[in-house]
Amino acid sequence: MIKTPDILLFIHPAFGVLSILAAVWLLVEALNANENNKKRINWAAYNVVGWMILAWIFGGAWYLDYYPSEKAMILKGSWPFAHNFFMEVKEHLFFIPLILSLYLPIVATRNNLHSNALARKMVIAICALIIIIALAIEGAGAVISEGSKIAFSEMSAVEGKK
Amino acid sequence: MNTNNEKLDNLSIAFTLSTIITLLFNTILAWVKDSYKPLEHFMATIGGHHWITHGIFDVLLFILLGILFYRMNSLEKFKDDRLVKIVIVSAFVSSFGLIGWFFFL
Repeated sequence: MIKTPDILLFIHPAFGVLSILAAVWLLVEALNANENNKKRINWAAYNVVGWMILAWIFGGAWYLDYYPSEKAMILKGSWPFAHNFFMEVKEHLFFIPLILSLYLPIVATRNNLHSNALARKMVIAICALIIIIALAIEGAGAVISEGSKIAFSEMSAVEGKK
Repeated sequence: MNTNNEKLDNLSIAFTLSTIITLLFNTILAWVKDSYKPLEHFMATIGGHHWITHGIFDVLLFILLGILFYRMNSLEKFKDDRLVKIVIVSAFVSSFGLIGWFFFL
């Protein structure tokens, strides 16, 4: 039986990845903007923000309810930087793609990307920023997970010697 | 729907300006919160945890500034692609501002 903290741990980066994929989708639609893909552009923009908000809610639930005990373990292990640097950056950096994704539907749905070069440039730039920063956040999550794994294995080794 | 082919519609311009300011505010708030713990504790009393309050402040600022800029009638001057460049610069400055802060301090 999978427990709630494990579900939260796995589902929040999954929502983050879905948001990245939606941003890639929107980037491609914007690069190929024409009279026929306006609905897909709108749908992709709403997907980016929707998945991002779910990542915020479920990642926040994990961070607030279950991370504190893991943080204490990480700080006792040999990778304390997994929290001191990677988690500290991750928890604040996340708000940047969140704000960018909230902005994205406004500019993508209210302007004709196929005829407005400035709007097209803006959407492409915002999508690229979301993709780059969100991938960095996913990477930071992997380092935090490894820091936790190392700390737990070190603790198990110490208890095994007793 | 904006039919002008050379500039963003006014709501988009307003929220572009709001995005630029909110991204920078997010990083500055993280710096201040990290260096002045009473603020972090105060923010924790508002939302139950400083991170929740931080996120709420960011989203509220984004919405309120967007509405405020939209109501101002001086958005005509923001019609070229400098806005795109400023958004990119503000995103990189705010991102590296966080990375540098937690790396060196």
